Amino acid sequence: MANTQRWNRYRARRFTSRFFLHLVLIVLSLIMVFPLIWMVFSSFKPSLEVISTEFHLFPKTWTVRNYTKVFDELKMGRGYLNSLIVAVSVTFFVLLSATAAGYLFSKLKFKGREALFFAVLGSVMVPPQIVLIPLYLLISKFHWINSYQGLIFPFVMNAFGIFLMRQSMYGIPNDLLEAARMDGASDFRIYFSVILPLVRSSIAVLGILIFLWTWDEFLWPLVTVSDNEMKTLPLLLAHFTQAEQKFPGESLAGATLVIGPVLVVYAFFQRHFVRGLSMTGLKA
Amino acid sequence: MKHLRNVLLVALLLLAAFSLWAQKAIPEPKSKVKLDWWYQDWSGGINWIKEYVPVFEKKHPNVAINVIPISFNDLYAKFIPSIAQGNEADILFGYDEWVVGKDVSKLFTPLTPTLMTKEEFKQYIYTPPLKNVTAKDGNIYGVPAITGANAFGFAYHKDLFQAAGLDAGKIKSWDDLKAASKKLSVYNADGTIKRSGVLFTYTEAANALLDMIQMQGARDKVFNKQANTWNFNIPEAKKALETFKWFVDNKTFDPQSGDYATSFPNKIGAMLLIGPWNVGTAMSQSPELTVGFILMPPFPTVKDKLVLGSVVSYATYFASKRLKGDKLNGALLLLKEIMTNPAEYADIPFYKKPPYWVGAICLKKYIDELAKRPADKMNEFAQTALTATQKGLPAINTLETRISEPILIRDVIHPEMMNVFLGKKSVDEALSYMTDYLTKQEKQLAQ
Amino acid sequence: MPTEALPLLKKRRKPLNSFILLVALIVLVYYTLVGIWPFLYNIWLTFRKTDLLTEDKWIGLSNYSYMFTDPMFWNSLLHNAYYLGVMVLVGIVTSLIFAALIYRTKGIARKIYTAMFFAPVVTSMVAVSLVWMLLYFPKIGMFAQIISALFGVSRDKLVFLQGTGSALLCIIIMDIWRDTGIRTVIFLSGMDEIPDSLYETARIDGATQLRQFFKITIPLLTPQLVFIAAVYSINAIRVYVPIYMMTGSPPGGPANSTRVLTLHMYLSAFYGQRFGYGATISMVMFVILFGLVILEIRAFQQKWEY
Repeated sequence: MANTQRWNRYRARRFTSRFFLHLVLIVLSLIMVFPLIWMVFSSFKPSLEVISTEFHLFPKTWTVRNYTKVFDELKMGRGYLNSLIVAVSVTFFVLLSATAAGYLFSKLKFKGREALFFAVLGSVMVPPQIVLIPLYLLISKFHWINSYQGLIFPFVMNAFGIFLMRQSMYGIPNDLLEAARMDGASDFRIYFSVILPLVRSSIAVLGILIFLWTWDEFLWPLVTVSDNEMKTLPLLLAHFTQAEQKFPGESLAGATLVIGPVLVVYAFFQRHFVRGLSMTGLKA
Repeated sequence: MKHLRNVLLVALLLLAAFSLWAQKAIPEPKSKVKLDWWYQDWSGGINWIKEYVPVFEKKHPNVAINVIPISFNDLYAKFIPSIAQGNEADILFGYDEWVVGKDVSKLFTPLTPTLMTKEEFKQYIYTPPLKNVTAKDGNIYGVPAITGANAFGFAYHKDLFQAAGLDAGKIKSWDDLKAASKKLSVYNADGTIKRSGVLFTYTEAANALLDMIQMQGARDKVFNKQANTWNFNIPEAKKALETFKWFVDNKTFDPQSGDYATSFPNKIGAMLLIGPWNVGTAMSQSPELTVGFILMPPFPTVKDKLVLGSVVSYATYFASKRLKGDKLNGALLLLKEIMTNPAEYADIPFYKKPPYWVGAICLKKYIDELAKRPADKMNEFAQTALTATQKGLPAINTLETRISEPILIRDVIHPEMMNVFLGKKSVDEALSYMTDYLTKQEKQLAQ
Repeated sequence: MPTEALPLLKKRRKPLNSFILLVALIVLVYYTLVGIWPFLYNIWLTFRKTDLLTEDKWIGLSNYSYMFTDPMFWNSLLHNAYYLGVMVLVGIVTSLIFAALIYRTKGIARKIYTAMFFAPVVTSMVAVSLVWMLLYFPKIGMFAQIISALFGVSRDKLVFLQGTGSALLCIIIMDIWRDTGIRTVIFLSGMDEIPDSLYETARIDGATQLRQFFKITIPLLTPQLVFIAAVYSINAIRVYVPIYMMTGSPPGGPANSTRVLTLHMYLSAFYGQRFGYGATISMVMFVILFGLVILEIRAFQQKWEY
């Protein structure tokens, strides 16, 4: 009798503590996503309503003018194209180079391997600000200012990618490689047929990371692109902070257009995003 | 004999006339050319130039102009580096003080004697704006068109003035200004400022500070060009800064009003120290506003002299030194049209509702035309431009510093003034800091 | 096996070499062009006074001596240090707490909470800076309304990015918000690895949940703590995008209160036309970052053993 009472009290206490736990977490989660929700809803408000003295989340008057203006005047469509071309290209090249170099550093021995690896390691410590001006001069000499090549070239290799691939390739058993070599396969063959399939998941993770980082790259395009036709999305967004007038509605429409697709993809492939990004904690 | 001599004389005269005419006329491009024009992206400016370009293109059908708007910060950051790398636009909008102290012959294509001779140039453009764009050999490398950011006076809200029973035309001294700011200030229930009578949150307040120091006759005390030293630890500087501080202490200026671009149009301030260019800007942003302009009153001094533009910038059009052949001719034709048929170009901003831009113009021919225009063809904004030019331009007396305007005004002097307004530094501390910092910079740049 | 392989090895040299040669060469060329050469050139720049066009002269150590007495340099450094301190401390404490909370949930609830916390991480920093800039709109923006409604602070005092005392803090808060997800997830996975038996033992000994947290959880999370502290310290030194986006006009915020090293470098080089001095500032940043990375590697190796 007494035991059942105690048990019930215990269960009641557990219930309340679990209730509060979830309550707190729900509130915190909502706080975390609130800015994004506000962004989406407010992008459909006319600019005057976005910055007004009354508070309402949902628009009083729904309008798509912000979006049409952003596409017409700011040429967002072109910006999407540019960002896509650059991001996809960089991702492709990084995946190619990181896997090849990862294979090189993890499985193939040659004279000077340590020295070369050290050079790659060193590049991690050099912040982009240091190489910005000299790189800018170099790209100018190639006449690659305001071009896709200029936007892509500095990023085709990524030291972090090389480390990641090297790390995941260490796990590949050497017997496999020996067997393939016995069959007379060249390293190119081994790279394509043996190594790549075995690190598929790392490739997926690295691909997501590189794409995200390139999509968000700001400093380099800022310095090398002045032609409005060649601007990537972050540069187009920067227009809203530099202009004298602040166009709240359009800023938010632009921001939603940039964040939106990524969030949608995130919703589906959430697991991969979380795994990949937590491995680094680094921003580009 | 006499007959032959006369013929020879006539022939010589004809030859001279022909060569003179040949010099003046720039050949039309034989084939179609397209010129890129980097233009500062400011509301009004782009509208203005986009309205002018078709007018020019109609006259010169072989020349197509592509206007590329770029924000001020980007334009400034890219200006010299892009010229260094050879990827600058064909025609460039810039401010003359971006090239102060530099050899402009290395940066742009010369406009004399190809566009016109140096002497002729000076008939179309006022002399002071030409200073920074003239090279050592006397050739001119840019066309200054309008004054940029200079502390020419105050923009004000006409409706607020009316409501307070004030007449802007009666503000002739800083005492008048102080009195007006008191009447225009509005307070909350707890005594905090709801609306400032006047705002000094824009960087041109720093230009005004330097002007005030000059007005008191301390030009050579504050900046010594030979020794490359600045000295703000002088009573004139203290008096100037304390004048500004008066408005904070007497609660007619809230230094926390925020960004001028939103606070002034939202009537968080009734007046704003800024150049007349903001008249057009504010009204373009918010067409329901009615903004006017009060020219800077002279600072009460012994000399009572109006001095403006200790640090001046003139918006100038340059042509890339890489231009050749038809492209070069196209660019020269554009600049020549602006100089010799200025009304087609300069009338556009003032007669719009709201005006695209209002301010002082460097094109002498245009000002002469404006001054002669009958009253029924003038309007308030054209009149403001005329007054600002006629009163403002002659009062300009630049300090010959090597430090660029963005660093001098935006990086150092205005932030220090804000520190004083916010109570974070005393007047003496701020003046000391400015003295030390600017002297160091000046010496570094003089190396 | 080995004796058989020897003659075979000799024959198989050729195919081995071309792959190695190609890849190694490309890597070498790339990092020379994009890493080594710019770095050396940058050092060269620090000894010169140049605007890239009309002048380029040698001035020895003048840029360095200028920098040591440049109050704006020290001011910027201070701002970076402030950024580092707040970001690392507040970031770690908040993420630890959140992780501890989410740890106690399971199944679909846990997945949902994690997903929502992590969503800001995948957003573009540029875009998100725009959104927060509007949220921080002085006096009448969303945050001003919310804070004055909840805490009764007068709206006129809420100037956020326009206030010299608050601007930098506001930016840091946004930065902390954005990466909370990553830190929480890292701590969570660390917590998941701690065997339940340790907690059981402690509970039997009578330790409260709080004590368990401090005596068991946190010490065993040391590798994660060190990792996060190091990574976000490095980010705080290199920070640029949110500063430029949220206080870009005028750059450096009200009265230069958000001027950080990267911005000081950019402004000195591109606004002041002093590329030599800009290069000098970037060299200092490199030294600081190098030191931080070395510290991270050392600390990480140590604690890993533990």
